Amino acid sequence: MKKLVFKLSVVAIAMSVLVSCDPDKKKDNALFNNGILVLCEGVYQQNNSTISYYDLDSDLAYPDVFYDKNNRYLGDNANHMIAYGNKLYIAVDNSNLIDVVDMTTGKSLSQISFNNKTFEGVTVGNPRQLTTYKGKVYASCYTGHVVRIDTASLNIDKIAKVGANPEGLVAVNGKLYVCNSGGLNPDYQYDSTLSVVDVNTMQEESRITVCVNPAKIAAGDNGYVYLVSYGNYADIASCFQKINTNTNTVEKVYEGIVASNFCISGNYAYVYGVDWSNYPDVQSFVKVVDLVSDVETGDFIKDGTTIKTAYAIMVDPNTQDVYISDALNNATNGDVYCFDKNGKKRFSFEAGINPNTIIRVNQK
Amino acid sequence: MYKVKLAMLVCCVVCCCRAYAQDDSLTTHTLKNFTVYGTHLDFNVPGKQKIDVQDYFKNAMQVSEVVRFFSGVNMKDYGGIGGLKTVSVRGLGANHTAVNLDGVALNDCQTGQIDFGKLSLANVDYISMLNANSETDIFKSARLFSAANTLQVHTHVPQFREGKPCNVSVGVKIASATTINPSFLIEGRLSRMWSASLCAEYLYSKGNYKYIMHYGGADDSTSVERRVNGDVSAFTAVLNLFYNDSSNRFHFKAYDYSARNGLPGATILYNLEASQRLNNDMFFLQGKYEHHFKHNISYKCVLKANYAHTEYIDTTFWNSEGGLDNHYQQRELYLSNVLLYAHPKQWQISLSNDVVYNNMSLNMKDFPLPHRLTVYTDLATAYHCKWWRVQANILHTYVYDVTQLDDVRTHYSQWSPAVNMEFRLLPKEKLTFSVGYQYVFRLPSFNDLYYTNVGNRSLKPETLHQVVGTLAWVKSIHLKLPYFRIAVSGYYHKVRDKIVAIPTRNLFLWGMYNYGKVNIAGLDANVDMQVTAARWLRIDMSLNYAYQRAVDVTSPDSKTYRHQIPYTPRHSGNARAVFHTTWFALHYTLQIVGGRYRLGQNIPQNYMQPYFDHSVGVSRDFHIKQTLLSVGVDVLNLANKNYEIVANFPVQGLSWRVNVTFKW
Repeated sequence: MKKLVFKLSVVAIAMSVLVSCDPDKKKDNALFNNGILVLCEGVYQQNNSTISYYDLDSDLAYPDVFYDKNNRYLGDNANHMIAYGNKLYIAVDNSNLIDVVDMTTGKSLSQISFNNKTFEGVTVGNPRQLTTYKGKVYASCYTGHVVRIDTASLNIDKIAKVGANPEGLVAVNGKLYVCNSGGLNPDYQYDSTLSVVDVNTMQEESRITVCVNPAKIAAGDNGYVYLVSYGNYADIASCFQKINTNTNTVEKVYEGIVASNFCISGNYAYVYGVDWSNYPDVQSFVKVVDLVSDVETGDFIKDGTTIKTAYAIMVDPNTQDVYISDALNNATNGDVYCFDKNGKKRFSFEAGINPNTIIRVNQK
Repeated sequence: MYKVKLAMLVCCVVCCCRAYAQDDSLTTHTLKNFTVYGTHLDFNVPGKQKIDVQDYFKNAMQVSEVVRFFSGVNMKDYGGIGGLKTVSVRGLGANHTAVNLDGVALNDCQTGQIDFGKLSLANVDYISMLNANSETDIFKSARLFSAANTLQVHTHVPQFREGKPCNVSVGVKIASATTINPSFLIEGRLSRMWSASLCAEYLYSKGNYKYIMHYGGADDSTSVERRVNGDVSAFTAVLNLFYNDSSNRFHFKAYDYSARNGLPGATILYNLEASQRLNNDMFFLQGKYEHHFKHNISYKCVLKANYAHTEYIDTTFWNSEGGLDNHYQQRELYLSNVLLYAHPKQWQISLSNDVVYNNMSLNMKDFPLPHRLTVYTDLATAYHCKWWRVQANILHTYVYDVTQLDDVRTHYSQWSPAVNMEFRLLPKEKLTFSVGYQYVFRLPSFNDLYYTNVGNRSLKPETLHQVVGTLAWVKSIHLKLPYFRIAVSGYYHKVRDKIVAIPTRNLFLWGMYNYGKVNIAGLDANVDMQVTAARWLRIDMSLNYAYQRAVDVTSPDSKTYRHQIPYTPRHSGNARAVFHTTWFALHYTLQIVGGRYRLGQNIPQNYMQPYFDHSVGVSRDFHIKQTLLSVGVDVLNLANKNYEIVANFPVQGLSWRVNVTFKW
């Protein structure tokens, strides 16, 4: 029966791209030479996190390359993925591990598990987001920690205590900026601080007060750090902010932008937000912010393409193409749209459920 | 004993026919001064199914084990003894099935669903299920007219033999996964009119059964694991008080349930730890009084008070308080009055009124502390003549909600009619065709409306139109086949404003919306029969098949449009048989559930494999003077497959249980 399911899924792959080809041959072709990797978290407790791959040379979409290459499922609630030094690091939150995958072969090299372990005497786990800095990978853990992974040994070599339920993190000038979301605080009293952690000592040095519920963070080329806070989902709205890393203060809050996530490319930030007010007609908007003049320049999508529940964004550094995923109702397979730099749709493909991270791979 | 049972059956068939039409000319056996010990079969209702627990499920422990053998029922079972078990009947959500215990509704105002895993099977005689209000009995509480489907649990009514005013029964069931279930029952005749029974049982299980964890892939790597955190410790005590005379009936019940359970959780890949706990306490008192006046007027009154407390503890919830400890309390006060006028020959009319008060509290900030008053008023009538009968009712429901925290008051009022007609198709055969229509709605539960940050106060009730047609034939075909019944039902359901949980604002925060639309077309077929194969062998058996096409028609733009809704197999069926021999009884049950999907999109990744579950059992009664020793052994899930009813909740594989009961 497993075989039957497998065959059915192969048929589905073939049908989804409306291209007829030999299924087995197609599977072997899915090496990450020139394409788009999409991490799809699946549905909580369904063990259905997947990595979809779209080959830009052949225009074929592969629903789950992790499964194809490793003969096992990735896990439950994979939350974030980064590529670093020819490896993929995948934070699989509810499976309580970080999976490290060789990008040449697609094979898993290691599962860095947090199960039944303590680090420096404390329970650490539920990895959420990842970042890299000078040969190390850093992961925020929902237990209130950041762990540092040695990329040679693939072991956790140090941990730092940060605030409650950290989410996004970024490293600039030897400091980690970690979003303390406080997502599990009692009575929905979210946190509103960033922890500043020294990457060498892994000690928290200070905190920066930001808008409530900080979640997504990235560094600009201009030395600033940019941040999205979700707000409290009630009377405090989400917001997009700029942080001066010299003074460690919020230098600007961009007014009037509904923000869920963003991506920086050169002098521009592409910030998207989801408008739930006309539910069930949910619609997402992608705004472009000029980081030099600090002015929002309007909607990115120009051709009338509608995205329901935008869930991830990535700008191809070479072509300036913008990839945006649509999680739809969060329980069916999502779609990924590719727009050219002028906001016109180039193509789209289907990914797995809740596509939360998009990575451009080019190993040619 | 064998003769008694046969005669009893014939008697019942005759009774059924008599109840249906006075001048029925089925094979007549004249019976005089005949005492029948046991309950009567009331199989004259085409839309009603019934399972005799003592016949088929003598060694079972939970009501859920029985309920899943009704045709059209899909049990949503989270595995193990302690796991949540709710039912979906004919493709409808769990909130569309009402449950009543001895004619009085059980209710959970917090979720609107009854967990069948909590209900003990000790001292239960039989369970029946009614679809679409097709019952002929209209002498019932208004509230019982309000659901699309009703499951009725009937407690054993004490019976005493001459000169023996006290019955005692002590039993113990021992099962794999370190499960032990001692029970005690005492029944006493207090006077000519009064009798009482007290039943207590304790259930302990480690619930640490083995299962196979699958990691997928072409060669499907697997590992053998043990279920963690599946321990159960539950205590149930029920006191019943009965009064019976020619014109009065009274039944009082005090029910106490207390459980301290682990929550085994989904089997998450590479992370099998679980540390959540769930403590449940429920206590209720219910009284039911019936009086038959002169002039064919009957009156019934029900009073009930219910208190339930649930504590949910999660020690690995990574908040600043180092864990989660939520307490939920709910209370109910319930009063029902029913008045019936039954014309001696052909028609009946009843007026009933139910007043229900509920409230709920929770130790969470901003929980609005809701109070709800629900008033049900129902006018029902039934008429029958030789060739047809009709039953119709109109129910009015009035709901008044007040939140204590912010004093928001909401009203809702709705009429819901139902009609059911039955025709006899042939003069000498009990071949009937019935057709019914019912409009019902389910009120949003307190969680749906008020749960902090999840509830949506603008929710409307979820509505349902259902049309059902049933063809049924009952016959005593031959002395070798004294009872044969076949029934085929076709139905169509239209669910609108379905209350669904949808992620709002992000994946962490789901909210409730009246969003879904579901169309359900289905067919149930069942055959029940009794075969007297030889003097020493009688076989009772039942076969059920269900077809359900339940499709999501919410939005044509959606990837789930016209896809089968989750956890609803197109095809499912079950069979059960008991071979009563002179020496022992052999039980066999089979459950077949076809392929279905765990999520709304019907794609291979969401497909769940069909499963079979075969179980067998042997039981034997030893009569030692005035006492009775019953011994039974069951072997469950013979195929030893850890199939999943709910995704990532594997059930126990091959397991056994032993039941020893001593009665005197």
